Amino acid sequence: MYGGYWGKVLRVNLTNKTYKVEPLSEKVAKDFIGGAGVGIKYLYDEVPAGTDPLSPENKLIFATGPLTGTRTPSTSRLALATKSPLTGIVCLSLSGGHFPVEFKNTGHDVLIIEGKSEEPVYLYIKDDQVEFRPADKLWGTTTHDCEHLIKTWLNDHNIRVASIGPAAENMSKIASIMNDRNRAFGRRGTGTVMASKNLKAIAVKGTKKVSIASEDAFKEVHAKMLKAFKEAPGLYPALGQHGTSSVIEILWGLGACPAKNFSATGEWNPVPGLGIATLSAKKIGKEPCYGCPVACTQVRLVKEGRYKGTVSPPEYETVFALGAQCGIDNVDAIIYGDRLCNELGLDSISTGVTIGFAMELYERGIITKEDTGGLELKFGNEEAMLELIRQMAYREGFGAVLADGTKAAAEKIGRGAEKYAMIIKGIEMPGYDPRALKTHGFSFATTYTGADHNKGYASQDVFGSPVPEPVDRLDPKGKGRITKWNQDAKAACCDAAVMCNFVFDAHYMPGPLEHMAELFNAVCGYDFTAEDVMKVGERINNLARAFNVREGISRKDDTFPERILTEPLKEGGSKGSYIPREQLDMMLDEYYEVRGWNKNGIPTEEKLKELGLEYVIEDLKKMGCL
Amino acid sequence: MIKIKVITGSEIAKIIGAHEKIIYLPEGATVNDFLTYLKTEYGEPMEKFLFKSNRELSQVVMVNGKNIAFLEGKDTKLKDGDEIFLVPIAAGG
Repeated sequence: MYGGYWGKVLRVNLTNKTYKVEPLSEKVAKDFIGGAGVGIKYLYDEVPAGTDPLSPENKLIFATGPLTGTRTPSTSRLALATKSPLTGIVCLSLSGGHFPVEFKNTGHDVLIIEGKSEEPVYLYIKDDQVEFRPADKLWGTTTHDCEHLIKTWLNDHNIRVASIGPAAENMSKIASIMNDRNRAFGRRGTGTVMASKNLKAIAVKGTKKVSIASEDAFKEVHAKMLKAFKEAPGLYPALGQHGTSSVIEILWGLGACPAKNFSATGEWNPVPGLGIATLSAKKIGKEPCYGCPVACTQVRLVKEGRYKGTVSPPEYETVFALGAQCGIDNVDAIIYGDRLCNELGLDSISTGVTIGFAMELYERGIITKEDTGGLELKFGNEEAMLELIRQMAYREGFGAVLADGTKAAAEKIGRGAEKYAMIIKGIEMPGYDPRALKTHGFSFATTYTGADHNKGYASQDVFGSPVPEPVDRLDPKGKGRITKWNQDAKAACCDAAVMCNFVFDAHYMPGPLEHMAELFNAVCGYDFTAEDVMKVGERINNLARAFNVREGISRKDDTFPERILTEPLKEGGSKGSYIPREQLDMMLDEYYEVRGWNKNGIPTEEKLKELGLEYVIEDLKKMGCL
Repeated sequence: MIKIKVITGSEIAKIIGAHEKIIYLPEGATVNDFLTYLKTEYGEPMEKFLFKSNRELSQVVMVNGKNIAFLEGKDTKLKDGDEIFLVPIAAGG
């Protein structure tokens, strides 16, 4: 097997309580690298079209990459591929912390969980051993308590745990899997799939160390990488000191920080309440992932007032979703809300965006106190926001209406509510307004997971990155080409490798792809060029698209909420900008052309052949898509 | 003199003591003059954050929300009331 891999897939069947180890084929490893690539490959092959995401036939496919568990910094990342109960298409979530490296150290590259246990269980994977342990007593615990209890009962606090909380147990479709307390396999209902299998947690303990192909070559590329880290202006000084929430001021400056359900972007100023100065005053330390010198996660403590004593590390997206999206500028309430989401196992983006959506409905009189169980659901009402988080996790009161996210809530409420649903392919939008960041926004409309800021992050828009070229963020031209670059580069270099997005963006040495090729070659013994790396990214995006096409996705789904298509921004650094439908059509035509997809957004036979995905052609033909 | 509003969310805020600051530059000033003003006013720490070791800018400069790469680069002319935004080339999520 190549360096960086064990060449082993651990397959666990919860129905029969059995497990076996299968080889990871060298061809799959090289064609897809690992992480998201290998995860999506298994998902495509083993979860056929039409599978109910909450049935025993759906699978949880955890995949590490070849860099994880080596000395490459910022690579304690693990990808999870499954079919999303929220969107009905590919769910690909990545989490950091310590769990990913610990799992890799058990001597496996991939963990596939299939079937369904009759009673609640948790898995304990200790190197080659797998134990199915009863979890009836853990059912009902929060993620933090579950993690603590498992470590205590196994009498080993060095064990790493990923678990679900009450939100998943109550089958909320926006429930996450949490690991190492505050790390999340977030978005798209990963936790819900785990709950549907009666699996409360996965505990791992690994003592092995994966070997790499060339120590000498690695030493050289490692030194180059650390030097680039040091020189990157946005890495140690910005991300290392202030974390992801430092982006809030940049977004405000660009007129791109969404507020009040995207109705007040550029008008509602988040900086006084949620800016760096306010957040810095709450910082008490950091919570780095294993082996990351940047340590972007900033732990914050509320020192005064009604939330006094609360500790949590809200990222930018949570500050946006529970804050600006709901018109709330009290950062203490956000720290408290972040803690609630993490312990109850709710995705904070989907939760906050859904609550903000309900607030707009309330302000417009579409819903009233009769619907909300007496809650005065106005923008800015932090008590209502926090109460709804709890209600959503336990499906109580009005929370039961919101528990499955915005799309389901809009359907339940009716009365024209869907007009205000800020979703793409069924998932809530993250905290970037596409009207102000057209490259970044266009990626939300086209990426294989639905509205997702991490599958093709456009640093060119947000931070003015000149790699591979600078873009004019408000000009719709050229967005197809640059979006393809972002999505393919991130798929291979970050999500498959697996490496943190932030360091890939920020280390930004000339030729990041050449650098990544050198890294893969040193670790795995490959002979990759920059083009080969991009080809892997393209293969991953095409296979994921093919999975979605099999589920009925096409051009009609690559779109924005009505507000983005029809309402120009009223104030701020992008005043007047929006994405009218004809502009979106132009961007889609360009994107499909550079992707080698037909006008309906389906990968063509030629493109699939070029990428070595011949087996997909037959599938799509059978479905009548090609 | 023309009045320019400087907005920054980066470490530069620490150096200039605020996230937003009003400064005055002579009529006809360019982005290059603005950068020179910052270097002169705030010395070495500012220079360290503005430029990489190879003298390339390590910050993105935007004038009224537009990257100067799409204007006239460092020769972009400034006018009264302009807003200059300094953004570190970084990442976020």
